[in-house]
Amino acid sequence: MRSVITVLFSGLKALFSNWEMWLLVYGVNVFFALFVALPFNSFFKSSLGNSLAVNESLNRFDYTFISDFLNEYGLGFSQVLNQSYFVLALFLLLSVFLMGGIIDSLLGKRAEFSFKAFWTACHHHFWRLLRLTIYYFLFHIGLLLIFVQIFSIGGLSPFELETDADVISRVQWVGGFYLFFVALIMMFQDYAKVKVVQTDERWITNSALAGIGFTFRHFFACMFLFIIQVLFFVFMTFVYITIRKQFFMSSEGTILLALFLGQIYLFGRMGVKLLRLSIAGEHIRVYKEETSKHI
Amino acid sequence: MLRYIVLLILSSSFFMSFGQSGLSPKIASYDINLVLDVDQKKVFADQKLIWRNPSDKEVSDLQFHIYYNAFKNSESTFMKDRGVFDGLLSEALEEGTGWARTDILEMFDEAGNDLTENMTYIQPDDDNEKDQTVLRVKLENPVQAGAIDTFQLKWVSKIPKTMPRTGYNKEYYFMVQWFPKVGVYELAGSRYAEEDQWNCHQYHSSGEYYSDFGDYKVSMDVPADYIVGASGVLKDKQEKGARTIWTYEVEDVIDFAWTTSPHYSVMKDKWEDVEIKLLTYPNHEHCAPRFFQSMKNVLAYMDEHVGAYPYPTITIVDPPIHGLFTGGMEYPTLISSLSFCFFPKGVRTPEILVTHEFIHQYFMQMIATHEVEEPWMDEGFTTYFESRVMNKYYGEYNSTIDFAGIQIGNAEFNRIEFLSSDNPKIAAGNTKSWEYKHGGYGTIAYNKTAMWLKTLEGIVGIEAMDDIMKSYFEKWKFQHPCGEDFTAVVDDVVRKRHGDKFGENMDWFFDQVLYGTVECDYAVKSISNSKQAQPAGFLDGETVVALDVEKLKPGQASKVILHRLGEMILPIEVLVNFENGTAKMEYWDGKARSKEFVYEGEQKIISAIIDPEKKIDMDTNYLNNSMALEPQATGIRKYFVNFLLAAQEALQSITALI
Repeated sequence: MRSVITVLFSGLKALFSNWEMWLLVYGVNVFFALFVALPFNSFFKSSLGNSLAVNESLNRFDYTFISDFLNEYGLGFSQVLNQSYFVLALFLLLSVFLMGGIIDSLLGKRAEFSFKAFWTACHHHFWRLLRLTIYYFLFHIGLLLIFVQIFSIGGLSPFELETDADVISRVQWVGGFYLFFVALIMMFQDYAKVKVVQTDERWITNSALAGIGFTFRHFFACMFLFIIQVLFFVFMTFVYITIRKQFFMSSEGTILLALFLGQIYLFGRMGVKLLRLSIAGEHIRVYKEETSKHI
Repeated sequence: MLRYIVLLILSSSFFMSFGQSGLSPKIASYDINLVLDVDQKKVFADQKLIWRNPSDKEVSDLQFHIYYNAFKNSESTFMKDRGVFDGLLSEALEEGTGWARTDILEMFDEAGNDLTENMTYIQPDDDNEKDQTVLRVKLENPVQAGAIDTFQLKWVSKIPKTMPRTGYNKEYYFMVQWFPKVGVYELAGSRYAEEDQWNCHQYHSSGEYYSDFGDYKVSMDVPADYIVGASGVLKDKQEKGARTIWTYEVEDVIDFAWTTSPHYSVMKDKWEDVEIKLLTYPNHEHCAPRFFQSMKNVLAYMDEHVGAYPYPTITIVDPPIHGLFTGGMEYPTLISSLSFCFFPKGVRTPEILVTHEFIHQYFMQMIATHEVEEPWMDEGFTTYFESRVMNKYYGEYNSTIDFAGIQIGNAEFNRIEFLSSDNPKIAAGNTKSWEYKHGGYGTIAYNKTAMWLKTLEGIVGIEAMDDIMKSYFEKWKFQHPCGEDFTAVVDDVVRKRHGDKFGENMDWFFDQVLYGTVECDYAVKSISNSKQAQPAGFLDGETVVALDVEKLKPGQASKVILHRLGEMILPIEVLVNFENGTAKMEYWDGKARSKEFVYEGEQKIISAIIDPEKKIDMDTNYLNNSMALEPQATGIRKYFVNFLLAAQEALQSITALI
């Protein structure tokens, strides 16, 4: 337990000592999001910027406004959305690219964060991490299909169900197990990524298997650390939603406040994501140190 | 001789008085004793029909609806309309349990004549000989003008599994349109009848029913552990060994429905003198307060705005999940709704269904319009009042959904349902239900009608609209009005309240919204404020006065230009706002393709709004109804920030895969 707490704190420390990288990740997110949002803004402004309906819809969720907008300007809007799919795919690739540098930095090989080393690591590990991402993406799809099949056992047709409580209990049981396995795959993936960067081998199979092996050998510690991070995320989301529910974006001030809160929340979410990797790296390092001490 | 004459007068006055007492004309009354066989899924029945000839001529045949024969084979008109591969039907049809039928084993008239051999199936709508949903019985003794005759039938029905609106699934039974029901004998001059005639359509997939008023006494013999709910009042319950006989009676209604299941949980409440009964399943009981409250709301609202509900009971059936196919239906004093054990409070489907189906007690039950020929008269009116009731009790902008930050009002939901449909112009509003061959039945009969009724309310005012609805109810309750009867009431009330303001009659309105397919869209095209120059040019014929841009006339010319983009023409209001905070309401007959309002003076126009109170619900696009001189910066920023945050969230979420 003590070593797990140590891992948690050293993970946090590694994250904060690489704050430049955290900012970079946030900056990339904002940059890509602006690529989508700015065309929308200009389309929105030119289509109905002078309509009083725009300001009338400030104080509530205005279904009529949204629906009329989609009915009348849906074509233009869908063009903006189509463009955003391309941005999303590009962002996904860039995120895989950044992953090598992120893990390399978090592993604490250098005393200080270095952009030069960061970009070098990004470039160096890209293809292997891309392959790993594709494999795990397929795992996730496979898992989802398996659980859809399990969920459907006994039929999903409402006409066959004895009571709708059956659906609820299936959601609870099957959903619960599904989430457990998703968490497991995510843990495998985190440790595998760290191993891929750490071992720096051409083929990723050994690293991926080592990641899975490590997770199984230290299952409770890994799960505990994973749950801590999930709780971080849940807590942040809860606080964010609670605060956001307190006001409408009905004035310049509240719009600015919503933007500010949103950015803090997103920055925090990115931190949690980075923390997962940081903890995985620290976990492997601490275990290695302890093992070498015993030897 | 005199004695015979007196006796004759007395007896004919007795028969004439039959059917005159009570609320309705009581043309067709029924006394049915049935046995439900839950193993064979069959009903065995003895049925007495007491039918009064409403005409002044004798009637030599009867026509019956045999609705269950719609499920007899794949060649019935119903099945051809819907297709056997319909998701709801195909499963039961494939396993064979969906097929159903009604066989009339024997039929006798009052004199004891056996009419069984006189029965033939007819197909008045489409000549589809495979369709057996209308039965014609040639009478040995015609029913004399104004006379009452009794007919005795013995029949057996195989109950369908999971067919639309009716049938059984597992141990749940929802028995509607389940017995041989006589059609409506329409008299010349009523509705669209040019001569006395039967109106008895085949059973179609869209559209529902049309029947005459009468009294019902129905005794249902079911297994002892089954609980029965039905139209009307429970008069008797006799336990006989392993069976129980439940007897229900109801007066002055057009139909009778019943349901049974051993799993029903019965709950009761009251609104004034009306007993509200809920038949639900144990894991839905927590929804009971929602059902009861919405029923009380709609009872109170309809009582105040249309007329009194005259029956002592109303029963709500909340089907189990395997009875979904029967949810959201309406029958006299019995309706079905829907709920789930996990229904969030902010998703108001149970409330909407209770409200909607109860309003049908007025529009198609008491005002017994023809649901098949003129579906707009029941579904449209009901949808219109549904929005009024829901918006009053749950809020204008959250009466349909108020969940997870999403708020949708009932009227706006209906409007968007219509406007977002594939083709809002696919058919006119008065299209017969079976003539919606390629869609549009739901959006036009329900949503569009509700929209134009709301638009009518906007044009003539809410007081006049209430007056229209109350007058219509008072004049036509317990009768069979047609569309023209309703428009005549509108004409009368509008003339009484507004004189000639809207012309001689309201045909100009109904021709567009009901009988036409045109769409309504008015837009503010531009606003301009320009300085006025002093007069220049050849003003006196010879000398040129140069244009002096430095020397302007005091004041300026401000102008608003409006466009009519749609084909529909409606009178509209336009609110013009000026820089000094003043405003002017303008009126436009809406006829021209464009219209301008010009103002000379010191004040600039800063904005203009067409239909500022959103009275014209038919307008397809509210966004172009207004224009401001300056961009609406705050609103634009709000949507930009929302979109930016959503994009950031999406990007961040996608990294979960990496």
